[in-house]
Amino acid sequence: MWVSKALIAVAALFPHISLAEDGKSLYEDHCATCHQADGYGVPFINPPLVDSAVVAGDPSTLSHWVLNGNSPDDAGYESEFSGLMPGFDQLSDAELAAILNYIRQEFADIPPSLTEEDLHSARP
Amino acid sequence: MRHALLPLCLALYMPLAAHAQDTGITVPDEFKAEVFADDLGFARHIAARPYGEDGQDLYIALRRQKDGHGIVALRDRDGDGVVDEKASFGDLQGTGIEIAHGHLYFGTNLEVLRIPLGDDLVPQGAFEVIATGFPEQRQHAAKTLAFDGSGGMYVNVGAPSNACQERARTKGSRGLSPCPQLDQQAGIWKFDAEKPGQDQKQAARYATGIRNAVALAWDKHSDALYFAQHGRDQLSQLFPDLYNDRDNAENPAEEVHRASNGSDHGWPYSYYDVEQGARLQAPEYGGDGKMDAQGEFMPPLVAFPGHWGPNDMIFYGHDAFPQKYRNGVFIAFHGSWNRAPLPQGGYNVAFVPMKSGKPAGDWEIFADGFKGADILKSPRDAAARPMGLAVGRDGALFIADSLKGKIWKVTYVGK
Repeated sequence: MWVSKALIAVAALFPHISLAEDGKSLYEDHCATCHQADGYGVPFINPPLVDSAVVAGDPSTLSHWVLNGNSPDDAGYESEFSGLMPGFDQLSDAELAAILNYIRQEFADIPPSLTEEDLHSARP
Repeated sequence: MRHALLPLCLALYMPLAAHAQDTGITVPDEFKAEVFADDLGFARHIAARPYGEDGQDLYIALRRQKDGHGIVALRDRDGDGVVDEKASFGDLQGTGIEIAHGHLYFGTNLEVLRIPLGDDLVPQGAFEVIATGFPEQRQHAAKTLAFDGSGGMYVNVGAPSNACQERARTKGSRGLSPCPQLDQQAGIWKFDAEKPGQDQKQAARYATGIRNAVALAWDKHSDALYFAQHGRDQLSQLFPDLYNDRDNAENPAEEVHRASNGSDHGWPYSYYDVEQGARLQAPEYGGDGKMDAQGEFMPPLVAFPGHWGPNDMIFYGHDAFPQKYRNGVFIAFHGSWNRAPLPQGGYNVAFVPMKSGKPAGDWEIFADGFKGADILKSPRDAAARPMGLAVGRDGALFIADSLKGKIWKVTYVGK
């Protein structure tokens, strides 16, 4: 727990980094139905975010997926899952950065690093 | 296209140690559940046929191949409830499996095939394609089957979306009007059961407006086709101004219908509200959670709670169970994943008494306890998920689990 608080404190020193804490409620509103609150997804339907190479990998892929949804043409596409992920480009850059920082911190133990600018530049 | 039979995996099957132990599920008084088989793989639908004087064969479809095969075959030589032979075969995988016209029919996500059944547990021969040309789709791709006994084969072709929105599963997105997905999907198509190589694009659409009818069955008694639909998801996530999480958890109903040639069951334009007992206009098409459906759609015979996931149904024509079960229908509910933040529901086998093709009383839970916990937050925590049903020659009800491939045999032991 102290690690999370420390990470948030670090993020707070850099206000352009969206707080993962803000992302929790956004995650619950927009993501948890499919990926489940615990991030483990639904077998054969919606992939887990826990132990996910996409979540733990280059954040540009994650940014691309949340903005555009995924398709069988995407690298890292998990073919055993039938669910189709929609794009969430209706959310603001700050909201999306907060969600991704939350996902990466909660499910891959990666400190918050994404900024509004990162998401803005990732938009098509 | 013919599919060569792969080398077989055949072995004598030792009686299961769990046979006399706690079976993990509950059934009504005077019924007994026993574990018939276990660890078969990701089981989907199952099909039963008599063997010899008293024996029983059971065929299990797998959604993903195990040991290189997508069908498991079990033989109980003398009908004592103990599996004597186990084999696997078939270089395919899928959900639908039925026995008809002397063949074992199998539905992959893209084709319906069949192979002739002889006396051997593993059919000797090759698969032939009966129906093909189905659209490739990620969502709701399972092809499940029913036969009318008069040469007709019915195939579920699920909708490739949740609600035919302009932007799939996107908050506030309107529905496509008219929904183009209805042309070749979201319905039940009828084929000649014995004619090879039929293309769906030339086949007859029997019924439409059906999001996904994994549970599909022909009732000989009323001579009609029935299905249970997976209702749409995410009312509150997609339209938070109109629905709260509780609305979303309880609605829409999982609808049980009787289909007829040309019948329209309302997806994506409408859904059935459990609490209001009415068919309402879908929010993607201007509905507000109260507006009646704007169209002539079939009413459901039974409305089950939201998101339970009906994945198989079978009419009970045997006389081994008490009279109230005669000609009624059992429905296997796979269990929900999207009732959160409320606990998940389903994970049971329900029974609906039927008379002359209509419900003759309230539905009830027949078999329960599959989820292995009182409160379940996520389907991955479930102990088991009911997926396939079959009735044996002695009137026993077989129930297949999709998580570990367990099969229960439920018999009546009362007087």
